[in-house]
Amino acid sequence: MKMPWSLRVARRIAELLLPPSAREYILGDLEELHGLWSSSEGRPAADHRYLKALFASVVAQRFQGPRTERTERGLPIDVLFDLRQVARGLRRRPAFVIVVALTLGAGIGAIGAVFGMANQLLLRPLPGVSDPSGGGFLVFSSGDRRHVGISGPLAEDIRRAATLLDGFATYDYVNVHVSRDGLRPVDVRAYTIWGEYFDLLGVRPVAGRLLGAEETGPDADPFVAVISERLWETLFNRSPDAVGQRIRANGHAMTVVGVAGGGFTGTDRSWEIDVWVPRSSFVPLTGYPAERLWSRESSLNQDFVVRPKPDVTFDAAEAQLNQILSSVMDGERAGEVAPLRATLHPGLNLGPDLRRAIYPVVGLLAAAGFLVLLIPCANVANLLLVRALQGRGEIAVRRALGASTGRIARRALLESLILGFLGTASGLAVAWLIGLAVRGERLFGLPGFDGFVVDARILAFACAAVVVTALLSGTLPAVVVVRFGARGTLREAEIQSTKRHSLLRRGLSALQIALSLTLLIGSALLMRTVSNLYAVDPGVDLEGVYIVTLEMGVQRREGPRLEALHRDLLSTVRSVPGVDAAALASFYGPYMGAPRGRIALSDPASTGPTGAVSHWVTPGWFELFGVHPAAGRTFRGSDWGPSARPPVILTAALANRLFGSTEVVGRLVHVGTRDLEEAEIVGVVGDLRLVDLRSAADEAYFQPYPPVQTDPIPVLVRVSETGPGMEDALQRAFADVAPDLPIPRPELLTTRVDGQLAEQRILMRLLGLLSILAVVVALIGLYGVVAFAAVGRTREFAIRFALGADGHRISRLVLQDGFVIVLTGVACGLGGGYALSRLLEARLFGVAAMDPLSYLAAVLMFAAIAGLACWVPARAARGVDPIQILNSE
Amino acid sequence: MALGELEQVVLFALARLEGDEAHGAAIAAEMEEHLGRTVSPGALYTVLDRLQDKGFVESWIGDSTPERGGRRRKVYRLLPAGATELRGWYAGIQRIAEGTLARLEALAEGTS
Repeated sequence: MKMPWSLRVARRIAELLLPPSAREYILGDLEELHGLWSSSEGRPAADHRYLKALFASVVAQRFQGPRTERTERGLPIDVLFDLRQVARGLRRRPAFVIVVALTLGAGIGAIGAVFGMANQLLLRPLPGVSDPSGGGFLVFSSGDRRHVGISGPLAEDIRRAATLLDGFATYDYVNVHVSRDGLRPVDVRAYTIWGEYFDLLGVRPVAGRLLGAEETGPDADPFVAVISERLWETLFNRSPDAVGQRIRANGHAMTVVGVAGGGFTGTDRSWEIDVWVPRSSFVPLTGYPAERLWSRESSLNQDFVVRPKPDVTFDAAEAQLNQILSSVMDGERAGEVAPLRATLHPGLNLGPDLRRAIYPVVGLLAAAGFLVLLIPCANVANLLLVRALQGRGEIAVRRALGASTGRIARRALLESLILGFLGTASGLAVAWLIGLAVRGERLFGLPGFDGFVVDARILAFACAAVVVTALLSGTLPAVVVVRFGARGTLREAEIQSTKRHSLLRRGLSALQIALSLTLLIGSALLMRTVSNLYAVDPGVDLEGVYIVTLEMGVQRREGPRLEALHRDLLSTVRSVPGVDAAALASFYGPYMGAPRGRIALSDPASTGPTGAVSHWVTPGWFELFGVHPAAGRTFRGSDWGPSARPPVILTAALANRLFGSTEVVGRLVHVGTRDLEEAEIVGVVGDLRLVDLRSAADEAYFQPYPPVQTDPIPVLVRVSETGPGMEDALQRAFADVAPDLPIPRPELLTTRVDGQLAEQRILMRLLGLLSILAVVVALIGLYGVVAFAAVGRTREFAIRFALGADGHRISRLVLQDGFVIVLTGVACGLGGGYALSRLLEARLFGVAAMDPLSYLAAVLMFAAIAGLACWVPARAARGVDPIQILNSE
Repeated sequence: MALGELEQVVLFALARLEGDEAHGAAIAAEMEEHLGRTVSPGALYTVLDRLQDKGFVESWIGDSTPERGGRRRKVYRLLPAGATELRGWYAGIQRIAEGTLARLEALAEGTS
């Protein structure tokens, strides 16, 4: 009786799994019983019973069969025997093992690096937060504005009415200078909170207590604070006596009521919070008007976290929130064009904004990584196939000695598992190396990546990688081996007959070549870009220049006190040994934004002002940077006194734009941000790049201090020798002048420049590493395909040798095979390289997307190594013994 | 040597079958007919191998048939040692069950 295909497939699988000693009898009995059941119960019932009995038979034989001898620990002896045989076989072929391990390692390393970064930056649970999946972020939107603020009282109304929520809290970010008596102030980030913030996050105190909902509302004491463990260590050395002590925050005394435990630093991975204060503290800390803070008319820029009740879904909670909004909005927001809408984003591990930014990129990288993994697996499958066919004699002997198909297939799969394990080990090493390349760099604005760290999640990934690669790369060779085993015949016609598979393998090899050449071209372009960027002349001498940006905040000085501060800063810093020069700049100093001003020719009514970069500088600024005037002079001492017509200095780029020439000394212009005042051009300096090295020369003008915006105060210091000692000395000097202000660590301007170039640098490193991996994999694949084709033509070569062909002729035949694949791959790779260069175009600098030098270098380098990959099997083909081959037929 | 429950049942089934009929499919059919119990051939051969190791049964390879898809059957026969063991076990069951049938019926009907 012919069975349906599903039963036939099941029977085939059972055939592989049943022991040979009982297989025939069990399957025969089942078929006989199937006939009996069909007669008595009908065909469908019989099929169902057959399937059940088949499965039960396999289970009984596999796990209960007395014939399966086991070790004392219960491990099947035959499996252990196969494992030992496989390991012994691999030990005899170290080169093959190394090649396979490296190939798999390349793919696993690439995807492992992506996973490692995602794990560290996104997946690691937020410290101190329990059950992050039970809470979520609440965002209010209006029309096409994705994130709008609402007033404090409206938030409170929603909180009271949301009966499906267990917790509802809001928080707002504030910059705070925190100090303790006798200690230097530190700059930290704080949240002003309102609602069940700590309760719903499940944060526990490690000392004292945390602020409850009733301690954070309008009537709460504003001068209490919870601090982080980090700040507890900095200010109190983790002393339990910290609770009840006073700290100063933005000049106000606050009592520490507790320390948040578990390393909690807030729910935003982009930055770390060290202080939590009630919402009412917002007024004294920032000077914000109290009546506005609690008014229904003002919209505050605050964020929300909520936790639905245990048996309530996020959707239900969101629906209730929107109902509440609809009902309160009539009075609150009557007249709004678009109604308010509440959206709940489940999960506290990552905020909605970061999710929106990161998920697509990580998803793309993961897909690319998986693709990168597939290609080496296909490569290794190719290599294992070649080896299986080269070892076909051994398979025939084993089959003749009684080895079952299942046993032969099992051995092939065991081999793939071991190789998968080795590949995963080398892949973790590759991922670690890739991690080193981007270590410390801020990716997506998140705190620096610490390198590839192995934790439980990475280990789980590694185990999955072993299994997946073993299955992906081992299945095809195992199937081929089983087919050989089942047929019991081994003829080269088998190999020749799979023309479809041959085309697939060649196509895959050409694809790998194209992909690796694409990446190589991209790397070459980025390398030239980075090299060009570092060669850009900023027009100023940046070496040995520190910048320290003082933020006054609430301790702001004005008028004479501010002038005194400026004077004292410069005179004190200049007296530090090793300091050659010091000057003040404006805004945040070079390479940190571009303060814009307006400039117009002498008659603003007729020509109209245009925008330009505006700088305010103190005496010695130009000398500090080694900038000499191209025309006229730089500022001198008298320029800072009162004058009827203040002086201004232009860059050459601005002078050329306004006047078409740099011979403009003595001309009058109007400059300013809002109101323009007349100024006289006293000098022109050459091209400067103080905003962005990647852009054209700045069109900028310089005016003497003080600037319009007096906070922050960037202080520039040129030193003879950089180092931690100098940085300590500078910090101490600043602290002597302004003991009430936090003094950040001095930063070298060259470090800022490095930061600007970080994106190109990271891209260059990552692309460079990926291209090296891809090239290695592609060339191993090429070798595999050419070697496989050569093996398939062994009989042909033997005949040719017998007919008088020489070794070189045979080698040329093999090389031709490889040449076609390489040519196809290179042609596609050039197209791919062009496409990639168009994607990278915005990030290139000083090099065109179609830069012939980069393309040529990549192609030549690749062609040379590809030639080597083809030459090895070509050379091996010369060693074919025609007599042995033809005799074996 | 104690006999497991399934081993007893398989031996009884073997005692009912004769000659070439005593193979896996026939034993499974006997058990289903008399006990309403389904046992897969795989589990049966596990038990039969165990009984063979104990020396209670012996086997030989029979002919292939079209009903079996051309596969041969493995036929079993009860050996004297197996028959003795089963008889002794059955006698013991009978002794312990003697006189309890009426009480069992009453308990089953809930009248006791």
